[in-house]
Amino acid sequence: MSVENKKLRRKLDRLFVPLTVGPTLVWIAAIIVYPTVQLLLSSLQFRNPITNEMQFVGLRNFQRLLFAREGGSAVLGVFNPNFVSFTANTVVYVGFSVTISFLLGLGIALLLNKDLKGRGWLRTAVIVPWIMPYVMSGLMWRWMFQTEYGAINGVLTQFGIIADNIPFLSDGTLAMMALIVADVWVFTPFIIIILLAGLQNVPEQLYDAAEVDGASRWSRFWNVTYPFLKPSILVALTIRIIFDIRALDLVWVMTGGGPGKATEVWASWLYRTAQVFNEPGPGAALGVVLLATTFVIVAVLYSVFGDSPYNA
Amino acid sequence: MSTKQSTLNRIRQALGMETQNEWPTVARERLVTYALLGIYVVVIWFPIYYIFITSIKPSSEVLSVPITFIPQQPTVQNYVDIFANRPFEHYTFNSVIVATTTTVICVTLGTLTGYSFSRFDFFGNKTLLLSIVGARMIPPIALIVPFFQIMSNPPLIGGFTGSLYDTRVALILTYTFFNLPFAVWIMKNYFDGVPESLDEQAKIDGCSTWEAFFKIILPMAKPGIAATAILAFIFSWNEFVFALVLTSSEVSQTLPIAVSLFVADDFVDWAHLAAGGIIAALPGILFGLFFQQYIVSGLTQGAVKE
Amino acid sequence: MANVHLNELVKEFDDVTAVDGISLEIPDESFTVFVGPSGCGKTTTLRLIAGLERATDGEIRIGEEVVNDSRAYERDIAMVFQNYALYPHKTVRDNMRFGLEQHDTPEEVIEERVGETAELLQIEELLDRRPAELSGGQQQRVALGRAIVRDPSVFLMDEPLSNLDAKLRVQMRAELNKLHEQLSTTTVYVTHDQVEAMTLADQIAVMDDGQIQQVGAPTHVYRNPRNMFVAGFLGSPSMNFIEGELEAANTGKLRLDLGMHAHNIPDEYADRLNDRLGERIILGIRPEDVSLSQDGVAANVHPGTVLVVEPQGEKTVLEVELETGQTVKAAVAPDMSVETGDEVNLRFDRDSLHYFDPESGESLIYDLKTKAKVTS
Repeated sequence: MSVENKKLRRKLDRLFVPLTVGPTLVWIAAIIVYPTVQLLLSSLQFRNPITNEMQFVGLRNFQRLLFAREGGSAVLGVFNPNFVSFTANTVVYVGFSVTISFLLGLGIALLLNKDLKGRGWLRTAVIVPWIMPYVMSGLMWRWMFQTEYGAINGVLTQFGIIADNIPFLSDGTLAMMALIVADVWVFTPFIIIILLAGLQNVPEQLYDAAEVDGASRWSRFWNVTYPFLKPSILVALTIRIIFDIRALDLVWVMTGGGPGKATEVWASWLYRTAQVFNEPGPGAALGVVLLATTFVIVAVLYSVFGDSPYNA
Repeated sequence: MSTKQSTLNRIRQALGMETQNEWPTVARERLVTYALLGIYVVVIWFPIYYIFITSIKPSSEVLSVPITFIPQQPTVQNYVDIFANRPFEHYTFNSVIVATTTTVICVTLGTLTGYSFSRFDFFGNKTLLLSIVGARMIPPIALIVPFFQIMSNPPLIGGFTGSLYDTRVALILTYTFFNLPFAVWIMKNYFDGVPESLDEQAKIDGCSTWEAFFKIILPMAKPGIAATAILAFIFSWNEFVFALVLTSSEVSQTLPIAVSLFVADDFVDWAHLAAGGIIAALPGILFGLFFQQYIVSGLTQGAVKE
Repeated sequence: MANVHLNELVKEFDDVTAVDGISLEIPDESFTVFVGPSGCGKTTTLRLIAGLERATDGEIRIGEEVVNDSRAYERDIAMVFQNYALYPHKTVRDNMRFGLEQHDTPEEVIEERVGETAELLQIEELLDRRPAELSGGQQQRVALGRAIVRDPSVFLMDEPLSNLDAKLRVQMRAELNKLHEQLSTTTVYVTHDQVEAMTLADQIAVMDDGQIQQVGAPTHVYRNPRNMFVAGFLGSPSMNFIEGELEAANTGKLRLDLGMHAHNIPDEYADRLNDRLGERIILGIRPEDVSLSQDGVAANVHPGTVLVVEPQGEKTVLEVELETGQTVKAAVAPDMSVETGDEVNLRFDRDSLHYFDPESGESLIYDLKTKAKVTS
């Protein structure tokens, strides 16, 4: 090898890390850091309806968001009724969706973890709903719940369970239920995948040991499965919750936040404010609230459930 | 053992009942497991079945009572219509371009960067990795305002002035934001599973760092790359919210938007929507059927190993 | 072929000094084994020679060339890893070809060398398989083949046999010996297994704590350990260490106080140990140098009670408690009928005694023993 060649090879080797990491860092800085900074700036601004220019308004966007208004100024201490009800909707939507899909997903994952013939196909069949475009799933469920021609009323009437069609999406409570059904349908596969992976970590001998000890099924789950599954459960729940808070697709195409404002959640409120009403300032402020909430939720989940003796 | 007995056993086995070499409770439990999973699969596939048969029913049958669960006059007319009456070839093309480009960028950068994070101890590597992974926690929807502002009025780079609003470029840039951190993370975890002695062996065999990476490690990383690529493709293909915010015409609108456009203010063209929806969902379903293990491994690498 | 020369070699990681000033001459065509417990720095030393780590200080020479700044790919070495590090996506043939291709070897030479090496190792029928299709022993051969085919100046081997089962390990050990006789390539070998080290090496370097404790021919090091670490590390079961106070007998001779039955110090060591009178020293004796005495109580015969009888096939190891409460292991012939609780008399072989300083662990008579060896 010539001396020149040797020098070049060494030089290129020294540049390996800068050349492989650099572009990604620049890219990420450009498309994540810059917009995030922009978000914080926008949340402190308000679009002047006449000149269309952004003006600095301090924390007024946040005040308007959180607190009720009287004669143009915020009344500190009295919450904005919209904020209260949309937050309640979000909590109901996320709370029920996550809980139901978690329990369902855990059950299915435990079943799929058994030594079955055709397990690969079953797993594929179970995963598919999560891979479809959310917007397609949302519209599909809107069609399922459609009053006259939807499959759900169709099945219920044709089997004689109900006499008259139920207007699922025109009733606030029923619309929220429908939304939760769709959400559970879409996201349960995610829980199943994560928990199935976690179940692989449970050493087979421990089940044998538990069986020899005469442990009941319930006790085997709590004493053998659960400790090993705990990290996976934490990850599944964390991702599920923070993704559900930000999810707009299903709500927007299924109910559009309606009927009335019965299913308006933070995500749809944010989109409506920023895009439909063209108020970027308050929209950005809501974005900041969403961002902060996400971090708080993650921090709380990990500080409460984060430690596990098996967490490697 | 007599023939009679073994025939009996075969029947029992077919019914999932106990056989000679298994405890009766185990066999019964398996039967229950199959039954429960069977019911679950049927229930979750029913909506897919229903939207599919809707797509092959003529509009008149779609909007008739009582509704039919087996199409009476199956037809592909809805599929023909959406390409004839709406620019579905544009939407499809846009979806393909946006998803493919995003995937290529994310896989290329994700692989290179993931490898460096896996192998080298460089200045601030832990912090950098943490912030790249932490970036996934930022809810994209929170950023629709700045993305809309930036794309409509991009910062001056190299004298470029026009707007990126309603372009495929805007979507590609945005989707990289969703997928690149994830790609880096999956690939880093994948490379962590490749013994470092292989890199070292390559060096002893006479490879520089670059050669060791390209000649030895990269060819071995195909499963990880496949998982990253499939997930990045599916995410980009399915994305709806930013497409809604950043596009306004068939120049850049993708299939998820196209499907949502069948919803008019008070009227929904269900038959054609179903056909468009099936087309939009097809790649995902196909990937799911054929590459299920990559999707699972990618998600597992990306999520559980935190 | 080349010799390897290490001079005051130091490797520091963040806050650990893994290699702490090693100097060693590895002669051309020698088989040098670094042996020591895990964390002793032996593998780091090997990786420094390979160029996989960069030395903090000191000098490495391969042949006449100082290679401190050379990358692994610039050094003319081949390495066999503990996990074999076979490229899983390449066939056996391509695994063996790769290093030669990287060095721009002409095609016909590659073909020839791969063929020869495969024949040498009897792996011809495996050439078109992938590593996953091979057994552990076959993978081990391929890993060796990949090193041999390169015909490097130096072979580096990092615990290459430790992933094999016991029987295969013994077999491969013999084969490595044979290969080295045929090829005579300078080999540096790292292991924690002292039997492996003893059987393979013509030069053994016992390491602990980042330093070489002793270097030499295996038997020499075994018979003449320089300190308690080396004495205890080599040999299984390991050397007995018995502490006692050095005192003068009525006869004026030196003896070690072991309760009722003192141990007399052989005359040749008396001069050396004289100035330690009244101090505590440590007597070292290997279990195989302890025998059961039929003579009854006499000088240098120590009565005790058998605590454990451990038949090992070719020998039986006894654990015996002396009257002072100290325990001593003795390896005796398997046909001895001894049972737990038996009273026995132990005799220490006079020529196999070692004495150590309890503080430093250094042998007090190392130079005397080696001198005796040379003169005899």
